[in-house]
Amino acid sequence: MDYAIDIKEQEALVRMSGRLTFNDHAKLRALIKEMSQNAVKRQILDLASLEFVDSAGIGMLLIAREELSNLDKQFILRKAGGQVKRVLTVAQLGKLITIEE
Amino acid sequence: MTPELPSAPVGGVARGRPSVTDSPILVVDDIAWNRALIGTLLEEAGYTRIRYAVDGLDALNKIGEETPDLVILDIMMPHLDGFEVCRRLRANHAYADLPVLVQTALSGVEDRNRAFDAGTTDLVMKPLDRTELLARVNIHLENRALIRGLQAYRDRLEGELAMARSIFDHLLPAESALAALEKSSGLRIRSHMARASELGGDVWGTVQLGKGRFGIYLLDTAGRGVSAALNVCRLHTLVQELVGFGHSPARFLQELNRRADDLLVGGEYAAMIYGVVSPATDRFTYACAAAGPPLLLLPGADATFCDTTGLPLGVTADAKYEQHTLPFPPGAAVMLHSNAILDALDDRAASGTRQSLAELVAGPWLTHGQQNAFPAIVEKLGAVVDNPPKDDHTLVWLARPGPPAPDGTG
Repeated sequence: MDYAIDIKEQEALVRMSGRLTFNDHAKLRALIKEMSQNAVKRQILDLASLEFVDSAGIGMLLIAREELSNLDKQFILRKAGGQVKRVLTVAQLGKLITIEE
Repeated sequence: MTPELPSAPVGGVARGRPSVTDSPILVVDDIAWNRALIGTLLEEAGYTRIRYAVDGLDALNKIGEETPDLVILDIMMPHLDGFEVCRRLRANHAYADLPVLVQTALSGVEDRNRAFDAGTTDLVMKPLDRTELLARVNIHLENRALIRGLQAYRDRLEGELAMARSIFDHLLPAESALAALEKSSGLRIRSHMARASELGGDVWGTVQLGKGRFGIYLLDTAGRGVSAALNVCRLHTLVQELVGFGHSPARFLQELNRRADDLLVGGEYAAMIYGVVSPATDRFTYACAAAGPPLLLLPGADATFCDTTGLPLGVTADAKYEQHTLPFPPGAAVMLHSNAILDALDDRAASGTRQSLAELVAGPWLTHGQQNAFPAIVEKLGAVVDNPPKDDHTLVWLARPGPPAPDGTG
């Protein structure tokens, strides 16, 4: 998995690409830290280029949700498609995290 | 005043580095004076286990008697030269990683390349320089000790994973229990499990409900390795405590989730399907917590995905689950599957061979009939996914024997 962060006035836009799996633990930890520390309130994960997420990847998204909500920050998942969308839907993650098309 | 730094012995112990002075070293040289020179340099540096060989054949014999940690090898020798010794060592699996330090006066690039081609680990120039020799000896012995340490650590981890795997296998239903359940319910129960090498977190089981009814679950904890293994054991224990809720799938998952929420923290969760088979009413009632939806196979019909969603276990304490009911008449089958199977099939879509699980199942179901469909489905799945898979792959098959299908395949 790779990501690029674009911090604007009102929001941080993180574009994720590749495969988010068990092996990306350290990278996602670093990303969560960046999202926690930047100054803006809205943290958006753009998943349009994310091809695949496994159960460990979903676990890390849940960690991100928890940590950002503790900091009173908004966490939004956007533009999930294919397998990623299917996994988010089956687990009803829309009930826990704001999911936008 | 500057405190004097203690001087580390050459080849001795620095912080975090292995002590190598007691490593066995074999010095191979046909000239006695050279053997004595190298031996003296090594002894002065503190090495205590030095043996000598007088030519290539003698070297191979001595290595056969006791494998050294390092060979210091001359090239030009009678009987068998250094190149040939190297080649023979590398051809033998047992000595493939044995460090061989070749002492050479060969100054041309071509000769040095020839030595490396033969399998030399490193070269040391003749005439020998004390500092260079000892530095190279030390570095190769240290590397060998470090690799050995890593290998031992890896072996231990593999041993522990194997133990965790066998604990997992004990959590699965015993054959005798399944046979008894098949008898009391009249169903045929089959399963297929392909474990990921690092351990996924799949387990399945049954709950006896009496009067031919029984509950069946497939639990899939997120992640892999030790944390997944521990969580499987914890959740399996909780499942045993909740048998009292076994008649109502939604209630069962709700209670399990409420308890799991305290156990699972920070990104840990589990997916689960729990269903109740009631042969008397021809029904299969189930609820899903982020689990792969069951596939329904009616006699002579295609496989139907029962699209169902639900929050994972362990994420939020007050999750509510929906209960669904499928017709389950004689001649029908229901198949449960872990999420990783759909993921693996989806994953292949990227390489252009998309084959959805429903299609994969419907083929054998329609051609082999109820009796023989499951082994054919397992075989077909095995042909399109990685083995071992990246995460645990589990299928559970429930079939109600029924009248033969109209075309006689059933």
